[in-house]
Amino acid sequence: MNRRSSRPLLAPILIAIAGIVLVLSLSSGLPSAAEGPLSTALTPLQELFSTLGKGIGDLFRSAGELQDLRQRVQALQRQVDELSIENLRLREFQAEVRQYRDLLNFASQNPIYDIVGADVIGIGARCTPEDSNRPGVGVCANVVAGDPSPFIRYITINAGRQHGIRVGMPVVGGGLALVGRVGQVNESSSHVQLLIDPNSYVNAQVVSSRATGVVAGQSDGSLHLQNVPQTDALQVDDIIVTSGLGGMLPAQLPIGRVERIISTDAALFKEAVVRPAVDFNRLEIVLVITAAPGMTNTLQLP
Amino acid sequence: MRWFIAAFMFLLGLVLAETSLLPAVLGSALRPSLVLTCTAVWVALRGTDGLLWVFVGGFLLDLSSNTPVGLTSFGMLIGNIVAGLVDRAPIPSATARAATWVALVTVVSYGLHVGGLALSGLQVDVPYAITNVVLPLMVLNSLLAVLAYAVLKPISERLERSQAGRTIVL
Repeated sequence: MNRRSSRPLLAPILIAIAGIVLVLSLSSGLPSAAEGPLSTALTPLQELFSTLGKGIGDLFRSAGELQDLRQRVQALQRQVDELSIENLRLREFQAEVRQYRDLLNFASQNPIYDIVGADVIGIGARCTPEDSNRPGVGVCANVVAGDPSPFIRYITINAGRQHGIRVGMPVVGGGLALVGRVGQVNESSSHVQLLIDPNSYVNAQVVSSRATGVVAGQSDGSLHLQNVPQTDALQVDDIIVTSGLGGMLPAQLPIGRVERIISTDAALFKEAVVRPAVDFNRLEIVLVITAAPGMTNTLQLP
Repeated sequence: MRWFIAAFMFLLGLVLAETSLLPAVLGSALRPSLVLTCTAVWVALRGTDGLLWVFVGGFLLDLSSNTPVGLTSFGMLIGNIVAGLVDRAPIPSATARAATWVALVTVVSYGLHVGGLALSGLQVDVPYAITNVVLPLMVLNSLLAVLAYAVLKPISERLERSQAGRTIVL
């Protein structure tokens, strides 16, 4: 920077502005006030870039994961076959039940009419943020961005205040596995604090032993189950779910499995590395649970 | 005016690429900071006049992040000022100078970033952040700086020529 500047006051002015904004945001929570209009404008663009990035990412990944994909395809094919058979049985069963119900109703109310059976209709489950008005349905959202800061782990989703999203609401992925919680809400987008964020703490329970603990995100992106009393049983492959304690999250949302126990017998509490049920690298669509029994959504996240 | 709009759109594109495109491609792996690198190279080329774009880029990143507003722009501004002060060292290659500049900006701005996060009450594992985030990003951003320099250098020269021409006409 040994060039002569044509604007000698530029540097101090800019630093002063940035410093004042920073002090204001640290003291009075400026982010949510400032982000509203900009986030509304940026979200569609971020969606576009995110889609583009996913396309590029898939291209690279597909080449590297060909072998893995082949094995997975075979395994999934077997699973599909089994599920297809099971699905067929269930359809038959459902149709049979409905038929019996109709038969009973019509037979009792209109004994002179013929009874008409009905086909079982498959239910398509595709939701969009606009589904938020339907009671009992979570808000579905696309992941449109990651946080530029390498020290925190947040994602941006394209559902916000206008879709009924509030701070603290749980966000789940495939199989209702917990992804994280809404940390900040803008008009049409929200920042979601991932489970693996170093400031994320979730009350958890071990399914098999009913032991409770806290699942905490780590700086290296791993998940640890902490504060499990030494007297409680904890084994590799144990399933960890949310305990529902504290009222922030509904109970029984899958978090992951115990991968490795890292505490010693001499420690006060047991600690284990948890393999998350969600692949945080491939989050594309998530569901925000807007209401559940016992959920209060009143706490602010760090 | 046209130049300012073009520069802003370029910066906005970088912000979108950094916040949306790179996370989708690289997942949770460490990602280079496109905005930091390009704006730092620009300051290395243009002097303090380039700080305006550091401020704008940092502010756009601030608004896309869940960290306190102003943290990124403040860190990047201070990083560039520090790099400017250290720039007295004799580095023969202009590309190497740009890469060194970016390395310094990365270290200073992320160092301030970590401090700011800690100040705002967020938990940061400082040793981990330095060894596993700041230092690898310093290398990553410096490598990216070589490419950024190759792209931005002709633009800077062209801008300089056009400004010189305008001065003569005036």
